[in-house]
Amino acid sequence: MTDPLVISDVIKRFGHVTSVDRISLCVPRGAIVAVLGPNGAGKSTTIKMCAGFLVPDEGTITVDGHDTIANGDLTRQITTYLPENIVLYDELSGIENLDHLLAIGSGERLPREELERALLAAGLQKEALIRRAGTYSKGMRQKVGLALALSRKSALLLLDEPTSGLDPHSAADFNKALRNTADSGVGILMATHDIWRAREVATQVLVMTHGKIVVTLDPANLSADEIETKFFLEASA
Amino acid sequence: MRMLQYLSLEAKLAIRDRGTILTVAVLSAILIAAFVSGLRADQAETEALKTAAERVQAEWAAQPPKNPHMAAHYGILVYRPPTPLQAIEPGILPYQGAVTFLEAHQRNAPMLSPASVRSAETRYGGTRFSPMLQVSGGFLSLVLGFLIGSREARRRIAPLLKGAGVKGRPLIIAKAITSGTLVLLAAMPSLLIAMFQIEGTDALSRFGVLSLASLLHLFVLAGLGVALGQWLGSTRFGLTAVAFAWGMSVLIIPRMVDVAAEQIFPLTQRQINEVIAADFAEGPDGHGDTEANVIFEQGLLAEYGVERREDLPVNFDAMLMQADEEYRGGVYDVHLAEAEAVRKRQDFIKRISWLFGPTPAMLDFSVRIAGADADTQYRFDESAEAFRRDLVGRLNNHMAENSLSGDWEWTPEDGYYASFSAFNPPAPSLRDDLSDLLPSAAVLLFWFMTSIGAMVASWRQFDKSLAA
Repeated sequence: MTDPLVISDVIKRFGHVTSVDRISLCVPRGAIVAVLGPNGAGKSTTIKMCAGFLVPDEGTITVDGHDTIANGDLTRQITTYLPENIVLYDELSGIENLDHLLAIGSGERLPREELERALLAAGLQKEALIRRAGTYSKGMRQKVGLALALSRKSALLLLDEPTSGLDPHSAADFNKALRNTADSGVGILMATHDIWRAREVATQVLVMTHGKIVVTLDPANLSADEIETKFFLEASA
Repeated sequence: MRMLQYLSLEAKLAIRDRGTILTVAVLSAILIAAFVSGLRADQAETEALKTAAERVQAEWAAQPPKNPHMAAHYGILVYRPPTPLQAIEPGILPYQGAVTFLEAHQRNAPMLSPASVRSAETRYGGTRFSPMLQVSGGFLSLVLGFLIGSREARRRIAPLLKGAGVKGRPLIIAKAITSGTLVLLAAMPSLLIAMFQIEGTDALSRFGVLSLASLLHLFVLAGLGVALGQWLGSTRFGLTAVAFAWGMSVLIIPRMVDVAAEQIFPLTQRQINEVIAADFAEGPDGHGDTEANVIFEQGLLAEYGVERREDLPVNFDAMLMQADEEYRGGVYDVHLAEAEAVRKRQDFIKRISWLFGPTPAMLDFSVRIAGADADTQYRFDESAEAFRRDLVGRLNNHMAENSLSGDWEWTPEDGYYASFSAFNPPAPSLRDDLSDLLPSAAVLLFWFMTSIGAMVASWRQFDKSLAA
């Protein structure tokens, strides 16, 4: 079985600046790979290349075994990208947002029960399902995004700073939902600054700086202090 | 099938947006009010003009015994027949009037407005239905299109959409269709009411063509609004910039181009009057004493082989009056044709403003299809002048043939004045007017293609924007 995401020797330059400098990584099914790093490290560029929004100058990226350049349309269909700040249509409820986003993005109409199930699985409270999204908090909107990824049956979920701006309780909730999503077989790659949350939820942590992956860690075996002081801060210096 | 999903989403968002619903309702109410008030005003005006025309004709027919040349000076008012769509598109009529006084020696053509104010007549066309539809409806279409087109950019929903696999092409097309449909919904009640109120095949045909062109114009603006919304939606002053551009294209630039047209091809009513007066002095004068009168008299005496006026078998005075008429008619023909040619050149220059937005071309199309434009007015003036020359010529000739020189007391037989038919100019037909419509129709099609091009560019930009 192919891995949801494989990045091999990818380089991306913007003018004379090399934003991503020959990185390689793999996200297996059920894995949550967190990419840590300071601003400008190349995290978001990597995510956008995986989503097909940017084209690598060198190297290859495959999603579920399909090249993102040669089979862009296909890989975009099996990839869900959630931006840092998810904004929904305020006029629609959570369930309507999910229904329409699925319909226009994938051409798929799911029965209402399935939509409800996906939203509940993503951690949205039942009373919020039919409430207009204009009243949602950021955490609730992120959960609708997760439900979208679940409902689209994506092979790969790409998250850009998913917990930034969330209060600790909402972030913990979100991580739980993220874990559930990964358990359904989705590979997840997320860019984040949040060392603590990454350690809680990720199966692998990569530290990236100046466009390179400088360290690969198993978060279960390291304390956050060690990540921060020994690798992250030293690396960024 | 996917397009239906996009349309379904856009329709739901439009229905739930109070601003959109309010805009559609306000536009719809404005158009209905404009049509109803225009129809009432037109019915009253048409009835008044009809009554006046009948009274004037009756007064002419029943005038007391009178020398024919005195009757020519007494003159007659002729009324322009109602234009096919004047209830909804008065065009230049409120500024040119519907009445012309016909009298001996004098062609009372409407005064020629300066080019710099002439298009204002159609630019601000009052509160009748068609100008309201083109100007207010056009503006609201553009704004509605902009707000719908910029929704994702303004609210920053676009990244999620793109991450969920949404493509720009169906999204933009759905937005354009939704915007156009909303405008159609706003216009439809008044269009339906108008369809059942307008009478006559010609008027209905013109109304059908005007409705289609108007809807095309509104769709073009909605499409441009969607495309501009996509491009400028995330900027702070996007809507202000679009409103400013619309104001420039509809109000400011046409005025600037008019002024330029006047500078390039100058023409004033005073100039025309001066050259006409100068030429009159060179010809026979029925009530004056000119060198040309002497030449005319010598020629007439020679023609009849007599030596004295009193020996002529015709009334010399009436013959001189008619010579005066014919000479002056020639002078009018030459100089008013020159003035008309200058007006045409000015109007050609004025079309430059059509390249800055579709509305000026649509306003031109509207007044032309309604038969309320300057060219149709010119043809009416020509008809009235032909009628005047025939009327005065018949009076002078009747006097010349039936009375003797110097006999100003002679009066024709009873019922003579009742033998004149009322003024009845040929009604303009849609087929005749079609060639006049071609320039503005071609420009509207150009704008339609531009709108499509702008939408294509905007959906490409949507697909690329997250990559930037």
